[in-house]
Formats: sequence, C-alpha cells, structure tokens
Amino acid sequence: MTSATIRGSEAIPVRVEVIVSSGMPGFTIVGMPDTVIHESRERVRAALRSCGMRLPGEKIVFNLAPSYVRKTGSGFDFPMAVALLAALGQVPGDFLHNKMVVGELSLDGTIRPVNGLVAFQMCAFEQGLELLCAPTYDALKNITKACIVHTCTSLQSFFEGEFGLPAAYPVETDAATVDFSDVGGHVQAKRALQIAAAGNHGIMMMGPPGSGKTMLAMRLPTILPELTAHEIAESARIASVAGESIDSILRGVRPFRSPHHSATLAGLIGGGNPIRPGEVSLAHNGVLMLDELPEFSRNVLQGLRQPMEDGKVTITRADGNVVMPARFMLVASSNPCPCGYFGDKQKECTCPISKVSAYQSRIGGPLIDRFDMCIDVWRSDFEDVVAGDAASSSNSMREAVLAAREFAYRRFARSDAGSRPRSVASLVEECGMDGATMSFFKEVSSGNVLSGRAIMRTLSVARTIADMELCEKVSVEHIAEAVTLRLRGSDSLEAGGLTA
Amino acid sequence: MTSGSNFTYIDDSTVKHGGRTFKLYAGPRLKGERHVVERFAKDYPSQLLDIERPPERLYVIGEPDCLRDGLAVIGARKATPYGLACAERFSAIAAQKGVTVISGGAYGCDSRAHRAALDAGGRTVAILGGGCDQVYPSTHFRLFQEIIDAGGAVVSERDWDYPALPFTFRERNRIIAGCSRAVLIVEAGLPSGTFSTADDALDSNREVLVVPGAITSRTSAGSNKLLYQGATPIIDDETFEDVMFSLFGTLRCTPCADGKDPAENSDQLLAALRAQPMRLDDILVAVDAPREHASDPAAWLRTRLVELEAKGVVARFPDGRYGPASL
Repeated sequence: MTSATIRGSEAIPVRVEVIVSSGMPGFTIVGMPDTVIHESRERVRAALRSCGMRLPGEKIVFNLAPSYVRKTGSGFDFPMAVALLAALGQVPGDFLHNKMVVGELSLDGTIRPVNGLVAFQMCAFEQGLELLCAPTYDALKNITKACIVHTCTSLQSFFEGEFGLPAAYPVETDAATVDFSDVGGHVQAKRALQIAAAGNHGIMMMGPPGSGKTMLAMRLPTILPELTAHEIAESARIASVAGESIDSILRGVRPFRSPHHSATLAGLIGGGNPIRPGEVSLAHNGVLMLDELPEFSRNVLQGLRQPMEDGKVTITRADGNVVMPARFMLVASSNPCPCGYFGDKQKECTCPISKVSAYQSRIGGPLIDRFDMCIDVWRSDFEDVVAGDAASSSNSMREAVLAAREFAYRRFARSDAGSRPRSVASLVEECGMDGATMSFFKEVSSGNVLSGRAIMRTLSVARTIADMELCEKVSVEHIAEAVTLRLRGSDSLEAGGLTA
Repeated sequence: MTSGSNFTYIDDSTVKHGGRTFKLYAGPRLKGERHVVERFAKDYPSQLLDIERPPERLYVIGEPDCLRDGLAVIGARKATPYGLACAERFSAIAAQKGVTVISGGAYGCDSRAHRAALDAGGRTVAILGGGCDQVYPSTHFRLFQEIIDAGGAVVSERDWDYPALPFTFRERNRIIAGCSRAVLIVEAGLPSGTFSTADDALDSNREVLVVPGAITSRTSAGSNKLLYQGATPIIDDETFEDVMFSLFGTLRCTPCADGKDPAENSDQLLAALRAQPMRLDDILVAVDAPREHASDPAAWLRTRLVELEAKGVVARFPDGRYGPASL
C-alpha cells in the first residue's frame, strides 16, 4: 500500500504496512512519524467507527517505510485506514495495487485534502501509480508528468466505490487581471521593464512613494512568455506544497511574489521544520519583487546570493540536504532617500545630505551585482494617471518580448555562444559591433562613465535591446540606451556632490 | 553663549542636546601645530572684531596667520553639479592669485572649494562648527589634514573637544563672514545656512558676491534673491577677476585661449541642460531632435547624452536627472 510524504518541495513515496496480530490490543505507528501522524490513531479509529467498522481487539502495528525518512503531515490518515481495511479483508487487496493514497480523515470519515497534491501526483506518476485523494482543484491535467487522479469524498463512499475526478477551478468571469494599459505615463519605465523581461535582467526601480513602482512590477508577469508545460508542473508543485493557490499557474501565468521587507531568511529562501519552500522557490519561473529593498535586513539579502547564482536553494539539515528550485527574475524597488522625495518635483526632500548618500550607497546592498538595470520612476501627472495608456497594453508589449526572446534564441542556436559561460570577450563577440560602435563603446567605458562591472552589464543589456529590434549587430543607439539604464554608481553620487 | 548651547554627555560616544542624541567623533586627531588665539592677542584676526559677538578665542590647528585675510567661498551642501563646478572654478582662481579661500568644510560646495584651492596650490581655511577634534563631517578628515599640511588652518571658536551640534554651525557662519573680506555664494537655496551666512556678511559690512542660477532652480533661489537685494553678481571669470582686483588688488590675467569646443556653445541640448538639469522625458519635451532623427528622438537624445557624459560635459545626478558636469 503506497502513500507519500513531502520533503522540501517534492513528494517521496512511502509504503504503509500494517500487521494485525494477537497480543495486547493497541494501535502503534513506527517509522519516524511526526506528532501529526501519531495523532492520526484517533482520527483513523473514529473515522472507521463512523462507517460502522469496529477495530479488532488485537494488536495493530503500522510501519511507514523507508523507516529512516522522517514523515510529516496528516496525509497518512486515509492510507492507514485503507491499509487496515485491506488487512482485515474488507477491501480487495488488488484494488490498491496501483494506487497511491493520500488524505486526511475527519472524525466522521470525510476525507480532507492535504497540501502538496500536485507533488503527490507527480510522485505517483514516477512510481507508475494512480493517485487517490480528497476532492480537489489542485491537479495537473493534460500534462505529461501527471497521472490519473481519483477523488473520494469520504470513507463511506470509498466503501461504496464512488470515485470522482478532480474538479476544474471555478472560472471567475470578472477576474480582475492587471494590465499595463492601466498604467498611464511611465513610458521609459515600461520600455525598461520590457527590456528586462526580454533579457531576464535584474531590474531596480527608484522613485518617491506612490510613483507606481509596485504597480509596474506587478504587471511584469503579464508581459513574460507563458509557462511551458514543464514549468507549469514545477511551479505548481512548489505552490501546492506551500498550500498556495495554483489556479493562475495552471493558466500559464508566471508567479509573482513580493515578500514584505520584514521577511526572515527562512521565509525567503525556505526552511522551518518541516522544511517549507520559501519565497524564492515560490517565485520559481516567475518574478521575485523586493519592494523597499534597503529595508530588508542585510543577512536576508546575503542569503539570496547563493540561490540566485545556482538557480536553486540547498537547505542543509542534520538528516541531509533538501534542494528546491529557485530560478526567477529579480525586481526591486527603493526610495531614493530615507524620506523618499529626493529629486521629486513637487515635494522637497527633508533628509540631511549624509543620510541620502548613505542610503543611496546602501541601495544595491549585497545584491548590487545582481541588477543589470536601474530606472527612475517618477510620480505621474494627474492627466496621465486618469487617462491610462491603452496604446501600450500588456499584449502588445508581450509580443515584442516574445519576438526578442525568439530572436535571441535563434541567434544562440546559430553560434556556439550558448554552450560557454558568458565572458566579456564572448559578449563582445556576440554583440558584433562595427568600428564606429566599438569606438563609441570604448569612449564610454574609458570616460569614467562605466565601472568595470558596469561594462559587462551594459553590454548584455545592449544585446537584449538589439534583440528587441531584431538586429544582429549592436549599434550606437543600443549602447546608449543601455548606458542610460545602468545602475547608479559612485560616479553619480560624486556628480551630485554627495561625496567629498 | 546662546541658550541653545546646553548639552549633556550620555556616555563616551553620545551626547544629548535639545531632545536629540548625537554621535561623537571617535576617529584619529588632526596633526599639526595647535594654537589658542585669545581675543586682543597679537595673532587674533583684527577684522573679526567688526562682527557682532567676536569669539573670545580661536582654536587653530595649522597656521593662524592665514586667518588675517581671505575670500569666503560657500554654498549648499545638497548642491547641484552647477554649484559644485562654480565653487571649484572661482576658488581655484582665487587660490591662484594667492588669496586664501575660507569655507566651512561641509559637504558639497564647501569641500569642493577647499579641494580646488588645494589643487591650485593655494592656502585655505576650514572653519568648523564643533571643536577641531570633533571632525565633522568625519569623511572629510583627510581633506582637513591636507588643508593643514598645505599651510592652511582648521579653526573653531569651540574648545578642541566640543561636539559638533547643529547650533554651532549657525554660529560659526558669522566667523566665516567675519574672517573674510568678501563672501562668494555659489549656490544657496531658501531658506538655507548659506543664505544666513550672507546675512551675517551684510551685518558685518562684508561684500557679498553671488553666482546667479536659473530662476526655476530651487537650489539657486537664495542666490537669486540676494542678487535682487543688491549683491554683486559674478557672471563669469572676468567679472570675478574685476571684483578680486578691487577687493584684493590682484591683477587680472587674460587666458590665452578658451579650450572649449565652439560647437558646444551652440548646442541646444547643452544650453538647455545648463539652464536647468532635467529628466530624460523632460528633455525630450524641451529640446527638439535634429530633423534627420525626428523619427526616434529618444534614441538620438540618449546617444547624445551618453556621448556628452563620456566627454565629462554632462553628468547624471543622484536623483536621476541630467545636468552639466562642469562649466
């Protein structure tokens, strides 16, 4: 009899064995169960009784194998009840042969869904089994990596052989979806987000409070390409384990996560006991937005570096490592100074100059080398806000993004650049600049405008801009635009007299 | 002293004043000859006696002699590159003519004026608010040490260890005005500490020289108001040198050639940015692209800006605007 438990963001199969033997009447569970599983004794007993079953006055021992894995969660109630019934000959054993059973029991025998059903479904598929669980919306359909799912409302209906199929999410007709056409003005910012989306560049938005940074970032997923079937399975599994709704993921919308700046390290990269996927894993294949970046604690941001480099989170515990995927696009926003109004047209900044300087140098923090672009978002005029901007809707913006990605993909396929790590030399080669462009770029990078780190980032952004215009070669205009999008460095602080 | 001067030490590193706490400076001390110049002593700068409440004594690190005369160059801490460039330019000219440049050692215009004077091989005096061992801002420690090493002085009316509290800066402004023969204001907002120094200068009958700014620029509102009230406008090197001649008797020398690219002077974009720093989208409205680039003015503008930035003519400000990097 097979069930499964969640570890990290994956389900691993667990065999549920039961023996009913003579001895002191009792009900024992062995095989590293956690407290929740220990308590399932009472739930199983009551649920069986409510169906008119009486437990035999004999010694009942459950074993959860492999016994060295710590098992968690209430999903073992249903399989244990079913296994017991099979052992007592109440259920034909071969019915359970090709099933993985997961579910929590209530005292009256109703079966409740547990978190992570998508993970269970994928695990069952790998084992060549069918999943039997409580009625749910969270099921992958028409996707290769998923198996047949049977649902069952209660132990009673299980007896009677009434099984159903997972329901589709109720369709919300008036679903309030966001769109870039709601955002008036912000032409530069929209263009920058489009570039970021096309090239998967980390982007930093700076501007006073209420200027629309969050509003812009929230609309970023609407211009990203749809999730592929494989990505849907990955993202849905993680969301399902975390107990989040997977409705939008199933529709192909990329996840958008924006953790509050009070988030802890465990909340952001995952952790806790049992280990739960963090925000970076929930943002897998999507967008991670760090609103008010300087307010995040430094060690939390430091903890983000490794996942960003590897595209996955590794959490090390005494009983082994748990690896969870975390490949996302990074978006951050920040005020330009502690009071937020530095450089604003209408409202004067009240911060002392030393505070502004300290704040600005802190903005990138430990993640400074993870941002390719930086834009200023200003508060829009009243007319712009009211008018909206029907011309640049998410759909039209997305088309350009898709075209650029397609172009870059073809370009990669033709060359062997994709197979090597990107170095400055290979990037320069990819850009294919002509003489005039090259000398322009040299002038810019030597003329104190670009720092060493910025040169590489500028080039890669310029390459993306050229991709958006479907150009093989990077031109002067592309470089110039990339330079205006570069991160604020110490050079701009100096220009403003913020340093000595 | 004024009633605002009460403060209590909380511990070795903090002091409480007016309900706020302030961190004390704990870095290294400035090296140099230390003098305490009493009022009526031989070394005491006599022109200081003109001002209201002349300081009882001056605490000097460096050369007390250079306090006798000089030109004060002051401006906003939160300065634009325009103000900074003006501070540098006029301070350098004064230093080249052997005139001591006096300023407050603060962020922005003040530190640029000191720096330019040092670079021009001149002497300069920093008059601090707190005591000379309470270096403020602490990041300027090296600048102050260079000032002393170059034969200048770091001065305060406060005891060596007196904490740098807000009111001390207002008070020291009168000494800046008092020590100097004239006060040049390169950029001042309204209201601002620089503007109040101008008042101090007028009270003690000092000449007030002002660099005008765009009337739309908030950071030049104070400067322009002073001009309206009758201050002497400094509109180019020539006028500055004329004024220097009449004040200090320094000779005027005409530069042989202006190294500037004549094309730059007729550049509409540069002219617009010189008048007022702007954001990218504002520049697009203010400046017309040449006809051959009319189809994509934004691309033209970005290319131009980056070119100018590479040349060091235009700079991107910390608030995201573009403006002139130098004059």
